[in-house]
Amino acid sequence: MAILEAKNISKSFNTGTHTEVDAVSNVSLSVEAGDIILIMGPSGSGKTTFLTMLGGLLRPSSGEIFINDQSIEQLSVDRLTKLRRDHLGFIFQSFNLLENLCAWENVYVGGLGAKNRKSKAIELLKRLGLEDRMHQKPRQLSGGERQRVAIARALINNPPIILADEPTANLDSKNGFEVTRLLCEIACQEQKAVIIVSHDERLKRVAKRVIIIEDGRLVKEELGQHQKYCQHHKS
Amino acid sequence: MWLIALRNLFGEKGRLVITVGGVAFAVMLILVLLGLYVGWERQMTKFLGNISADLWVGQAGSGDISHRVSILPSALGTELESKTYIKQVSTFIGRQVGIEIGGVEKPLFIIGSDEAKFITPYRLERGSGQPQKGEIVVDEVFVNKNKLELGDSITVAGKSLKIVGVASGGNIMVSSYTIVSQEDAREVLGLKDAVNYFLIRADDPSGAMTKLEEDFSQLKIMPRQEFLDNNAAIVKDNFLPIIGVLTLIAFAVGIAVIGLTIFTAVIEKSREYGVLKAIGYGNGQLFGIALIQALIAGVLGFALGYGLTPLVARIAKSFEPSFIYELGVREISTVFVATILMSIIASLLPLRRLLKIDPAQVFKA
Repeated sequence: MAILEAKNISKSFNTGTHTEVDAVSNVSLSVEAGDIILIMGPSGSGKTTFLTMLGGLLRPSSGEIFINDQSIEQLSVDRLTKLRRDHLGFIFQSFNLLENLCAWENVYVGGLGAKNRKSKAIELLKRLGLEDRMHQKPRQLSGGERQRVAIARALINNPPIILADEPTANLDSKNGFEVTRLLCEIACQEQKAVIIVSHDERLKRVAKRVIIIEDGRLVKEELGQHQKYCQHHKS
Repeated sequence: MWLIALRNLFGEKGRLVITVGGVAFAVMLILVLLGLYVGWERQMTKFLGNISADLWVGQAGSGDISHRVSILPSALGTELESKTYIKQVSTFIGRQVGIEIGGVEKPLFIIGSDEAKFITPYRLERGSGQPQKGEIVVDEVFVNKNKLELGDSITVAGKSLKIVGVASGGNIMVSSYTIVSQEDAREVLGLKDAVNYFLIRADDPSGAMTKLEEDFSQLKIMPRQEFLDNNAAIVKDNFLPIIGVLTLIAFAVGIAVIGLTIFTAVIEKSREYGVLKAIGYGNGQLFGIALIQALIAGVLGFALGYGLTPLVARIAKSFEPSFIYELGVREISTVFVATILMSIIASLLPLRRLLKIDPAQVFKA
């Protein structure tokens, strides 16, 4: 059963007098729990715009997006905000941690409305191997550590869907591998749907499906190497 | 919300110091101005309030000792004394004059003493409080400002008067109350057979007032408090609008300081606010973060300003001895409420900006 579904969504931007650019054209996608979808494509192809719409941060010009069978088009700003909080976790390329807050506090603020969120934040950071870095500010953390804090923040509300935008772009290969492993673990062990936008070919190893977008259009869909990678991970 | 607000506020120490300092300055300015106003108002009636009369009897249309002064014939006193409902009658002779000290003309309020001792210094600091002929009791602010000593002489309307007493509580900013003998007062003020007011003591002041109004319908009979209020009104009418305008300016400075800080913080952290919007914070919660920061800055600024105000007042008094400053719980509470109001208004300044923050910006690298 689809946990997230995009039906023929398009997005046009007005770039000047009488000029409209189609950033996304008529793209459909169905995502189930435990899925790992990798969205790839050249820069400017519309993949981040597509992800932004899936995350309810940008309204499509046409088409519909359903999260848990609920069309998000009809939701008010407040209800959409609440839906994002309860159903979606975000991971960003540039981590987007709050610089004045330490690691556990950054995770804590992501858990708005969650019960026992301090203990949950600490538990998540321990699970992600950051028990010694909990009281460090983002500037005192390495890129990999920052991204793990961001992953913990995305998970604290236990959302069924994780949206990750270029999660490995600012990381070295070792940290990139670690983040990849964590995303795979989140999908496989917690049955969360993970949608990743990336240029990173290595992520194909964790993806169950790979979608290629060019000029705003879905041009290709192929199987990822998840099965192989996941077995390797388990071993 | 509290966690983010506190971390943002205390995370930028330089900005916090500037904000708290700015608010403290505004609070201090408001407190000093209010203190000055309250001080003036109380000071205006301190000396007069010490005159132990139940009723003041003056010419019709009179009301105070500065603007609506009365002149009555001295003979009227005998008539008043004959009334059985009056216990005791005395006279008030007083007017502001200019005297020359060191080539500069200074204002001085000359009051004649009375035998019945209705009129006494507010508080005698040193020397005698009952001047004889050729003597004067002056206020300590007047003495300090003019570098005079007990035993020195000053010349009033060509008459030399020796300072025999120094009192406090008689400074009224633009002048100060002094007491001379009744004879000297009549001479220097040119009131041979006249007085300004009659001072009345009665066992039943309100009953006496009613009867006086019946018996002397051409006179103005004022209870003690009404006469004091009339004199205090001189400060209220002349200085309150000025104080009010200056207070409003200080209030605006406070709003601007807090508002600019919060506004700058919102602009600087707009990406972080965007992240919070993306992960599920509503506009109300983001406004709450700005409001908490503004309130904390306001309360800290109030505490600092309140703490520094007595110090500033003391410094001001060392430069200007006539500087009067008094604050009560009412004034302090009013300024605290004003500070909270400043913070709330200031937190509204970045509201539009907060509402416009697009959470989708967080996907831009």
